[in-house]
Amino acid sequence: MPTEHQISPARPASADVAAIERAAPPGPHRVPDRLDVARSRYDAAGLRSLVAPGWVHSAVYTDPRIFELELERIFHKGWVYIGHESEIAKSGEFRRRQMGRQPVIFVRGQDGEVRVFLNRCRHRGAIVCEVDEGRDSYFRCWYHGWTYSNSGELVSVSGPDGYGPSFDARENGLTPVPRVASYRGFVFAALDDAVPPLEQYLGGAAKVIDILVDSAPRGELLVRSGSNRTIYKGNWKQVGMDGYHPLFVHASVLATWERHSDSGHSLGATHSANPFNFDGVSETRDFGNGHTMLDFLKHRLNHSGKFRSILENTPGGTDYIEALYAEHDESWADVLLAMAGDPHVGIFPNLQLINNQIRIVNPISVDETEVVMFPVLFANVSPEINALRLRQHESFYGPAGSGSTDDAEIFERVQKGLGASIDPWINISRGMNRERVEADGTIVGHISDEVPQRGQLKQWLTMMVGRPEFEEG
Amino acid sequence: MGVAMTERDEVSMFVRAGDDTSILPGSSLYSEIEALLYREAELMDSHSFDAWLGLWHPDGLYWVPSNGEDIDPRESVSIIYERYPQIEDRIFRLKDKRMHSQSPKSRLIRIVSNITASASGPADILAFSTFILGEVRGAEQQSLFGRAAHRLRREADGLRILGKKVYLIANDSPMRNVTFLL
Repeated sequence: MPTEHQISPARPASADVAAIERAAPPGPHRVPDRLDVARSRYDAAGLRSLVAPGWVHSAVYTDPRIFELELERIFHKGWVYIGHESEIAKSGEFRRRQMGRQPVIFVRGQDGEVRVFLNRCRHRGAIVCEVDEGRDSYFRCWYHGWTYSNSGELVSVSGPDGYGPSFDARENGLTPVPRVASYRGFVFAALDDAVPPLEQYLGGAAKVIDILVDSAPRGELLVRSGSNRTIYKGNWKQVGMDGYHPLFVHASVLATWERHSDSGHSLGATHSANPFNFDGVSETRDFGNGHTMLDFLKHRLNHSGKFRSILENTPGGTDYIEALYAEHDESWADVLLAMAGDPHVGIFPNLQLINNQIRIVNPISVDETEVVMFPVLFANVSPEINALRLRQHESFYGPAGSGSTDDAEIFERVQKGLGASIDPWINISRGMNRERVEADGTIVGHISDEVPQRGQLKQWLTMMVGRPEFEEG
Repeated sequence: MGVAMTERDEVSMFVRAGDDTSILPGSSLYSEIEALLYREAELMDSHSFDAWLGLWHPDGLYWVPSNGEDIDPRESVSIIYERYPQIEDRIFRLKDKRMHSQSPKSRLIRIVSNITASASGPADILAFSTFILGEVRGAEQQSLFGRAAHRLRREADGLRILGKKVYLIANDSPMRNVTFLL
């Protein structure tokens, strides 16, 4: 809970805003004056005052009022990742998902079409799907028996005489989420019709999603292997893309990787010759719209022989390598092999593709977050390659994995620290002195630089202050 | 292609065969199994990592499924699926001061009960048990409930854990860190 307005001199919020608007933004090594940012309301100017070049105010992570605005303006308005088409490959298959506070059903209808509906009976509002996943022809509300098809139509109302002839079943189907779109099997939805086309929103990040899809022979991913569901007591924005932390947060894991090169079922070997070193060639990328990447390409191209040899020692591995080179031109196949199918990209606000997994970030409250990790398998490879993908994933991720657990611990320490309001600014300036902009506008920094943090925050502010700037994205 | 041992084959060790012989409570073998499970629980609760590792057979398999009790680990994700070298890595990290999720350490108490066991040979035992595990760390308390299957093999110096499967009944729900031994 932020309390800075209680310890700051009582001044009208609008005067604070005006002062901030007039003041030159503080440089990255000058701590903003905490007295100037005491806020009691979050109008556009108030929200802007929480972000300064290289700095962010901790209220962004701790104030429940900010969290409510985030649900309304980010999760209930913009594109949100829902699921992968292969999860509901057969007609009638469904998965329960969440868009901020809205419970939704991700379902393939009898007609084969993929839809997203609010999980809410049109009568008295009970959820009509009470299990996380399954396959059925109907969703039935067991409060009063209203029944919907898996395409969303209201097919049966108990005691229809009670509604009279003016009742139109066609107007009482499950409420569809207004916008649903797919990029190469990745399904996104938006509760507000006024979003840009999905591909425009994804922008330069789409090409990075391709790294995962193209790494599967014939581009066929299988997201049907269950999930690891984790939860931590910290803000959802903590789950960023950070290339500065592994040497410290994951020191114990790096130590096991140094002990033997095949530790972590060779996830360690893929990362050989530490990609996070301060003198290394790995990069961070900000594609715009909050989409960011830890880009290991240059590093991994120097070490791709390691992953190749892991594959060659796995049944079906040689066939897999040949399939990559048969389907793609040589330079792209080189990239796919070097990257080991790992885009390491975050799509704002709730999707990450990291190592062998699709990860959904679900904000629960200002200081509680669920992270669901879905390992991705490939349709046209040997069972041994897919088993290797699972074992690699489990070694680092999930509630008992070597990496996720230390991440969760650190996120909780951050949340506790941010409760301190005396000096409420967080420093995200690392690399501002050396980042560069590519021709398409992508901002690039060193792997340890806070390019992703700044990129995500830029999008956060754009969506929080409202529509006009959102359209610029 | 040779007859490679797959994960599916491996986990069949946790399924009781129809012709296995029940080991009755009160028998000396039952008491020996019971004592081993209690000893293991004590070692896990007290973070006696090396002593716990010492209970294992070098071909050991440690399995904590996700999303259910009977999944195929070749096609579905687990919470832990580790052979002895990876179990040994886990112990190495648990002893490393830089394993932040155990600073401070969890305080643990578990109750092991409802033990049933059967033998498919003089040196080959399958034991089932249930447990309630309470964890306190910082100001947080959590309870975990589960069922364990132990495949035990008699070696010259006593029973060794050849395989251990731990089914957490909340394994399809959002979970906090499980950075201690199950």
